[in-house]
Amino acid sequence: MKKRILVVDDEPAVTRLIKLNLEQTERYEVRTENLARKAIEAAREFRPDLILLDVMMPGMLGSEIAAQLQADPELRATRFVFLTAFVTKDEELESKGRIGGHTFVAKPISADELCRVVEEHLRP
Amino acid sequence: MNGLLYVASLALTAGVTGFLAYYAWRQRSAPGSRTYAGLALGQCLLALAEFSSVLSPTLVQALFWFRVRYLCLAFVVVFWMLFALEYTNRRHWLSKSLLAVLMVVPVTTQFLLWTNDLHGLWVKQEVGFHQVGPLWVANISARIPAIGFLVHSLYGLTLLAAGAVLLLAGTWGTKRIYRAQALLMASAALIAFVFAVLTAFNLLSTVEFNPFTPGIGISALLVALAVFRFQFLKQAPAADGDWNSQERKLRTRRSFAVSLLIFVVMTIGLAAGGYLFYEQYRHRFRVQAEYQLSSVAELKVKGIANWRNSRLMEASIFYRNTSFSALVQRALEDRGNARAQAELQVWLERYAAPHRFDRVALLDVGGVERMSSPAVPRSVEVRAQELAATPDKREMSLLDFYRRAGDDSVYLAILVPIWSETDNRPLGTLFLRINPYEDLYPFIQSWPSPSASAETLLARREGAEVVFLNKLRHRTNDPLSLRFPLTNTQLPAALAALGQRGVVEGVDYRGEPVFAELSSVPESPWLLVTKVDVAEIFAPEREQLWLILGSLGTLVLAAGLGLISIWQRASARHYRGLAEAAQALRESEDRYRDLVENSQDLIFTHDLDGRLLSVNVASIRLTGYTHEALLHMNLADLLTRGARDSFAAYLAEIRTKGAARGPMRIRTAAGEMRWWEYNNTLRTEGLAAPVVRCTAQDITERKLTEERLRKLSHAVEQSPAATVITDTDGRFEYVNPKFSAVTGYALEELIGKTPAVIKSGLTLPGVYEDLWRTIKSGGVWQGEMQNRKKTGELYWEYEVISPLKNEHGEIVNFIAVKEDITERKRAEEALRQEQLRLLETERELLNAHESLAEADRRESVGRLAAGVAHEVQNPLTIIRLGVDYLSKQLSQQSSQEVLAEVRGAIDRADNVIRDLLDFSRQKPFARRPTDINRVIDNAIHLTRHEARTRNIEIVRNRDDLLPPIFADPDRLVQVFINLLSNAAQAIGRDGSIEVVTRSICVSERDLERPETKRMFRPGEPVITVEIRDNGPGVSVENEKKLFEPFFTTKPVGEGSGLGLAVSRNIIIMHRGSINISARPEGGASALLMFRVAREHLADEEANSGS
Repeated sequence: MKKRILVVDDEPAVTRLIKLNLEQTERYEVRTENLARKAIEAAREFRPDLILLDVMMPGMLGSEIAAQLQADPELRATRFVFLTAFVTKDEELESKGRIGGHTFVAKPISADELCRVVEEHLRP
Repeated sequence: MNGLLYVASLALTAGVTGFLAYYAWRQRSAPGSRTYAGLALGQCLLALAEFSSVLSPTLVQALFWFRVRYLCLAFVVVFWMLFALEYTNRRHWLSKSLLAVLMVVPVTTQFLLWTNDLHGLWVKQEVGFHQVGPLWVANISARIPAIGFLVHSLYGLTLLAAGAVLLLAGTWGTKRIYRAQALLMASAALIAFVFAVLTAFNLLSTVEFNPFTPGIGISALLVALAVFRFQFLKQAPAADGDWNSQERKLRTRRSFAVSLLIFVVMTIGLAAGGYLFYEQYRHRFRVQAEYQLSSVAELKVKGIANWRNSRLMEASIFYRNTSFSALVQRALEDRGNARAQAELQVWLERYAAPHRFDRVALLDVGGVERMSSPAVPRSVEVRAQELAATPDKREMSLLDFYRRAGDDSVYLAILVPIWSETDNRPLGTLFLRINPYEDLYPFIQSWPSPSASAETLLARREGAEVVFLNKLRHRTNDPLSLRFPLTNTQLPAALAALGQRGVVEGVDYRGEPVFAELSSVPESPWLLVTKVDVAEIFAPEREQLWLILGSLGTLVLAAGLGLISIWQRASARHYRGLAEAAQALRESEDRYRDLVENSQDLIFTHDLDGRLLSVNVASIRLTGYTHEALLHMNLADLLTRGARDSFAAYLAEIRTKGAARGPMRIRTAAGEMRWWEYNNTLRTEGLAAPVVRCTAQDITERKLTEERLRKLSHAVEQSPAATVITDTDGRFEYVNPKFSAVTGYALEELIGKTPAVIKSGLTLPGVYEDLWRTIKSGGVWQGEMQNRKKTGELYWEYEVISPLKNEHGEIVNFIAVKEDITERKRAEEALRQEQLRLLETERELLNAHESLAEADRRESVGRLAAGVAHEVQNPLTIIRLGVDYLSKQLSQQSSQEVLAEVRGAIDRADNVIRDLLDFSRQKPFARRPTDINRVIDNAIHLTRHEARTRNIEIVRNRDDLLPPIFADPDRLVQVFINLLSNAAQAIGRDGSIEVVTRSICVSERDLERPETKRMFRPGEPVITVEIRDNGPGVSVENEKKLFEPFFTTKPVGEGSGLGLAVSRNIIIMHRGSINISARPEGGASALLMFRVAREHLADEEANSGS
């Protein structure tokens, strides 16, 4: 059974390309959501194994979505990886890809790296 | 009794001298004692030999032992001479060869003595002995000394006298005890000398025994007295060091006098001895000659008397011969009695010839010759006829020598009166003529031994004259023809005629001096003069005289030559000494004159009133007066008016104390005031008028220098700055009171120590290295140090240390002037804190509006960055993911290549955005004590991948003992990564980067860089990091722009232009400095300076203190 991955980004091109790249591997079932306020809803509905969450989105920050997900008892176990454009190279180096206990991926990310990070977080 | 005394004296002599020999040998360490031991031993053996000789059982043994004496005697005198030399420390006068010469005579004597039988050179007549009881006593008067003995004796006496003189002369100026010793010794020698002379020349012929040995005994007793009374043989002047110097002083002056004295004494001694000997010899010879003459005379007198008596006896046959008178009566009175006449004629003829009567004749009473034999008529002399005619003459008579008128011959005649016995009347006279030429004259002329001049004269007195009766030996005239008046008392014959008898000296008829024995022939008028020419008698004696004179002369000559040679040597030495002394004196005088004249000091003399007597060149030069002028001046004239008042006191001091010294102020001819320092002394000895010797130095310059030095010294002493003078090893030589006040250490505690005592340990080792390097190379070092007081309290000082060089430019001392800057430091620290806050503010301001343009730009860039990041990163993400998706969809190679290029472009854009983000983002700044080396190592580690791919070697040149700096290591890592990365990019490929960390003090040179100057002060300890690469370097115009944001020399796309700007920002936040410059040898160098974490330490200090 394919792992389910929810990708939340306000940029439809980004979500689409992530979906394309991940599904190209044929290991994941990917659903995209471009509206931040619908992300929680999508997650309840989709029940993803992993959520890829853009940090900076109009209307709601990625961290706020993450906080709501954490607060929901059904979705609490859902893992997520942030996507951000505000990480410098040094910050990425120093934090080894984690902020506040959560993994983040600096944009722009390559397909290979994306797959590696996703694979990493889907491991039980 | 006499014999016993003699033997006892010999034993005593042997005992005393034996003791002296033993004693001297025991004291042999004293100079002269060894030789004296030899001397005394010789004397002792001599006495023992004499003893043996006297007590010998046989004459042969007595003679042997008597000869042994000479063996001892010969060497005793040599020992005596040696002793005298050694005792007076003059052994060096004798060389070995001279010693051998001294032994020549003794050895020769021994040879002559023991081989005397072969040549008889010793004594012509062996010593005779006569026995006195059990004793063999040598009869020394019996011998006649020969040349050998003479030389031996004179030699011995010479040495004896010379030794004694030497002893006296040598000890003359010495201690009393030596004088006493020498006096006793010389007396002993004199006694021995006297006895030796008496013995040698036999002047004590009345003494039965040989006095020589007892004489030695007496001499030895005197020596023994010297031993016990005056420590003789225990102390000798030669051993006395004092004697040497005194001797040396006196020697030159005295040597000639002493030598001459020795020579004169010796010569007088020898001459006296020789004269005495000669006189004695002559006396003995004369006695012998007289004896001989007397014997001859006695013989002659007896002979002549005998002859005369026998003639008379022969004639007396006819006297009172009755038968002959009867025959004569018959023949004369009976004229016709021819028979009787013939008978008488036979008588006469028979008698005359056999009885050696020259002619026999018978005269009648009238004196007429009646008969004769030989029968020559008228042969009877008139004188006889007259006598015959004398009536009543009944006695026989001798007609003394008479001259016959006819033949001038001399005859004697005996007249025998013939008396008639019957009628008692004279009948006639028988005339018996004697011809003296026949037997009397030859007898008189004969001499018992061959002699060239001996003669016997027969003479008789005729009135006031004396007539020689016989034929003379030395004149061919006839007897009775020579007559002399009795007034000629030189004539022995005349003396005899005047009644003198015995031996006389006179002048004979020839005028020759003669020795004559005067005697008379008994019962006759004849006087007999038995005479020999004095010349003949004393011929052998004269020979002896020449012998004596010869040997004496030789000895005197030898002694004289010896004396001359010694004296010449001494005087040569003396004159050489004098010449050398004179030369030395000249040189010395010249030297001193030169010294005085050309001395830079003033040297002059003045009298007790101050009038100048002499001045040297320096005096003339320094006073400015001429020589003439000075000599007419008084010293007081030279003084300044103020100084003149004390001049009287100066003169008084000189007069009373003899010396004065001090400064004096004078005015030169030019009116210039000078300071002199004088040191004057009074000289009185050897001068009629006392003179003051003055030396003075012009000390004006010195005074000024002293004054300056005093001020300087005072300044240093009173200086508010601590001042230290050390030697070149850094050991304290001087510290001023301020230093002591600051540190609490007194100068005495610090002398010889190094400043290590005040080291706090907080000053970086590199500071000291830099300090020493600077000052040892002659430079001036300045800097700050934190040191520790004696109390342990820390303090800060600012030091300026400079080397002090001597005139050769060598560094001899270091002078450190220190300023206690603890207060300043505190203020500074407060200021620093303030500054730090200011810097923080500045940093904030830098962020905001430090440089308005840059701040604006930065802010806009910051704002921009967030937007750009968001706006650009999303598209980039889209592109990227799109590319990735497409690359999987597109299998065509060319498509893949295009996609790869797109990916590269995405990466570059991504880099730009991220740098922009870095630049805009301000992280909190967290400083802590940091090991810079670890930060650098970390940076190298993080850039190693890039370096490796570019084949660049990173060389670490590190100082491991660096103190920590107060910094944010995360920021610094960023700086170093940036710098290393820049360097690597600048190199490109293949090269090396060197990272050097050091701790130094900031030098003036460092401060030429504006970045540094803004941040540091000179002498401040800092840590430097230098990153050198061997890349293309950096141009001068680029140097200034390097730190501007977005300035980059990298190809487009490789650098954002923000790295160095960020780095500089970080460094400024650390209150450090960064400079990048081109290296002269190529490449670029980034020099970073950081303050050590002293603030931090000081803070801790302050915290622990409070």
